[in-house]
Amino acid sequence: MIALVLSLVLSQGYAPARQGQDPLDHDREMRVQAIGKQLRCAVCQGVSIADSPASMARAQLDKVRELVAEGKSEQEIYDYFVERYGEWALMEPKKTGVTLGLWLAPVLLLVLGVLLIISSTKKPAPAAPTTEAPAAEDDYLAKVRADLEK
Amino acid sequence: MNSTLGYGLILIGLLCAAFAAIVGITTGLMRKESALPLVQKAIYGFAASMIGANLVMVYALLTHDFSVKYVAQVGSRSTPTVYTIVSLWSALEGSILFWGAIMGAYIFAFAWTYRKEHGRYMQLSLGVMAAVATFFAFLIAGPANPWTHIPNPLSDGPGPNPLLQNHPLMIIHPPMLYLGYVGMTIPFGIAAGALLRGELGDAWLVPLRKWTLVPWIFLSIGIILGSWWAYAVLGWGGYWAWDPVENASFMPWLTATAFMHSTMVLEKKKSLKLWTIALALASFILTIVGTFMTRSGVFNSVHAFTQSDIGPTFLVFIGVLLVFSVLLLAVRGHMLVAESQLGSIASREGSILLNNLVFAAITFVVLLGTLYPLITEGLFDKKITVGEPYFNQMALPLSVATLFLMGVGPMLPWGVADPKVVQRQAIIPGVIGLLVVGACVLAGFRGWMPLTVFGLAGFVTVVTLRELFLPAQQRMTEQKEALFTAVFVSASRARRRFGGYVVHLGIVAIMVAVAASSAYKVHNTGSLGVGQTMQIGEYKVRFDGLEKGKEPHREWIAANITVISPNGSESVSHGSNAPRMNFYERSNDPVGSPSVTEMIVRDVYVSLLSYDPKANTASFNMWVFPMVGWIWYAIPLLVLGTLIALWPQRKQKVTAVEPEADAVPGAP
Repeated sequence: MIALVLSLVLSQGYAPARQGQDPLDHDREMRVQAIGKQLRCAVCQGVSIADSPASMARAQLDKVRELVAEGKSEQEIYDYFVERYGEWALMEPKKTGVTLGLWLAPVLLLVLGVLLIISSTKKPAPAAPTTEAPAAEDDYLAKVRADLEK
Repeated sequence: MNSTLGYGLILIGLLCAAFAAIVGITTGLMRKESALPLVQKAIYGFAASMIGANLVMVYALLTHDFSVKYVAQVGSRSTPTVYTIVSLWSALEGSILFWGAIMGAYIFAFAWTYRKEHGRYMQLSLGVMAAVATFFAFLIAGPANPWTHIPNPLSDGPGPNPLLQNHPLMIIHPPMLYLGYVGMTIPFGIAAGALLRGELGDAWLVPLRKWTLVPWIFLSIGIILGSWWAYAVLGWGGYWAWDPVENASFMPWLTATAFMHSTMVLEKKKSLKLWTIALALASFILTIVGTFMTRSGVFNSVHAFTQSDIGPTFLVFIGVLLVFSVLLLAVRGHMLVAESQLGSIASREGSILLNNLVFAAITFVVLLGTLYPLITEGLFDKKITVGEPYFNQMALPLSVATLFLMGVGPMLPWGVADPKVVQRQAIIPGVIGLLVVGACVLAGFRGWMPLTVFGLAGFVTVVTLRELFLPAQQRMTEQKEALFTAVFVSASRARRRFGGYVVHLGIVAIMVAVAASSAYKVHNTGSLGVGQTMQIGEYKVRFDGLEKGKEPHREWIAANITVISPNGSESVSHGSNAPRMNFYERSNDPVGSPSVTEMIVRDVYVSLLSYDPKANTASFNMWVFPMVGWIWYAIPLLVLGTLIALWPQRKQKVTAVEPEADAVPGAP
């Protein structure tokens, strides 16, 4: 509803008082933008409120600005949004419960993949040295080889 | 009239495709090669009727025949002619119809090119491709039928989606992407044909590789143009948002890229057959998954411009494809056995294996992140968002790993590496990489991620240039050839190798551009009165006042600006170049378009947020993006490399020369 009203107002062509609030001083504005990057625009898909040109997102970014100006911490601001819109409002879910799979599954895949590759490639045999720490594996052989090469 | 003709052609196409699929696969399995001409003719029939149907639709659009449902949906007398033609793919039904035409063209080109070769696989492969074509012809004939006749047509229509007629890039981005998506049908057919036949000979690898490279380059161009379009049109100051639709196009690109590398191991070592074939199958299935994600509205995004009922149809098709592919791999996989042992991990094949693992991991991350919200909502009733921060966090380190491998891989020989040789080879590129990092630090650049990328980029560039020019240098000393001749001859002796390295250079440019533009962008936002300026980085932007304009299909309000560079020179962006709000008849919301002042090393990007004609003020979002343009400027390098790799060898050499292509002097 707010979005609708705001977008109507926008298309009529005058800037309402709150629209396009002026940025804060540089450091605090950087914080506003960084926090905005972590919050989801409610009317667009998959874009943060810092990135969205939608009027609703602009209003939400102004809210962030307000909260930053009040001296709220990042966590407090995220909590404010989660409380109102649910965890959905965060661009990246909290790392708890089922969402852990997002981080763990790719790591698991990588580990399994590396193991598979190691097992399917040739072991660094004495006659076939590789860059993979041949010295640590067999000091004596390395020495012999070095001598032979002289 | 148009409706009847168009729909009739689609039905003929459907019949031809179904016939080719059934006859091709059954006779292929029975090994009756005499039936091939029949299959070929049906394929040609399918291609002709699909292209014909598209021509009828273009004709209907151009003549504003609003009795055709699709024309009534997207046509408008006020739309410029170019965009009228483009509206062929501006909405769901039309885009699937267009898809059919591309499918026809691809399958025809494939069948025609090899009309006298590869008889043992051809029927099976053409049959599988025709089966896919049958599905799409069925979609056009049924769930996504654009031809429905409207008895009492209106005299005008709403015109295509305004977002799609806002920028000329929209004219080429979708066809490029479709050429990429649809083209994956060909390697799918080739791979499935090999599996159905139960063998994969060297000769059949050549078309498999070439016909993956073709959709790969189109997909690359399509993805990059799409990001350019998002950057130049949407006005949020970015080019990539890890939107489900972008992810959908990225995944098949990743698996196809992995395929292009693993195929080298297949050729050289006669190993990784199953994995390579699986990658070819996966690339195609991911294009279908991507189309489903884009077109079904599962994820609502700019692109999911429809709530059509093709979703379930697609889901069934994906299921069939998955079952078919997994079954094929399971039943026939044992026939594709490795014929030799792989070398150690520190070898060319080792680096390619790692490359494949990293590409598989990125694909998995993208797939997982895109689907996870659906999973948690469906299974745990928990609505979450998996957005840009997650993808950046996971995919960026993996991308840096690919950059590293791009440098290390080419230095390693096949089989077993001699550490001393490798170390000696690594010295110059390594030192130059470090020098690049040092220079960047001295120039004031900070942050470990961009610096790592820059350093690795320097390293990879040196390795790549050396691989590109070493053979030429050898020719110059040994054969006393001139530089140009030597480069030309050495490149034409090893086209794939040379082309591949040129593509690598393009990818390095893209990675540097991505790292620099995201790490060192400067942002500012605020309201300005006429004559006031705002500072972004070293640049100033002055607001010169509002201006109104009118075009046949839209009206706009521009906030005229002047960009003032540090040395005082001014670049004026007024009227149609200024940041604007565009008003289309069809849409209540204005569509913004930013103003991008492009310079070779940086862009100044200004988008209009709101304006107030009474007070004569406007508020802006402004950015300075270093090097961002290099992402799109890299397209010619990618195309050049691909063309070099694809350029046909002289006919009589075709089968014999390919495997030797890598054995040119140069790799020690």
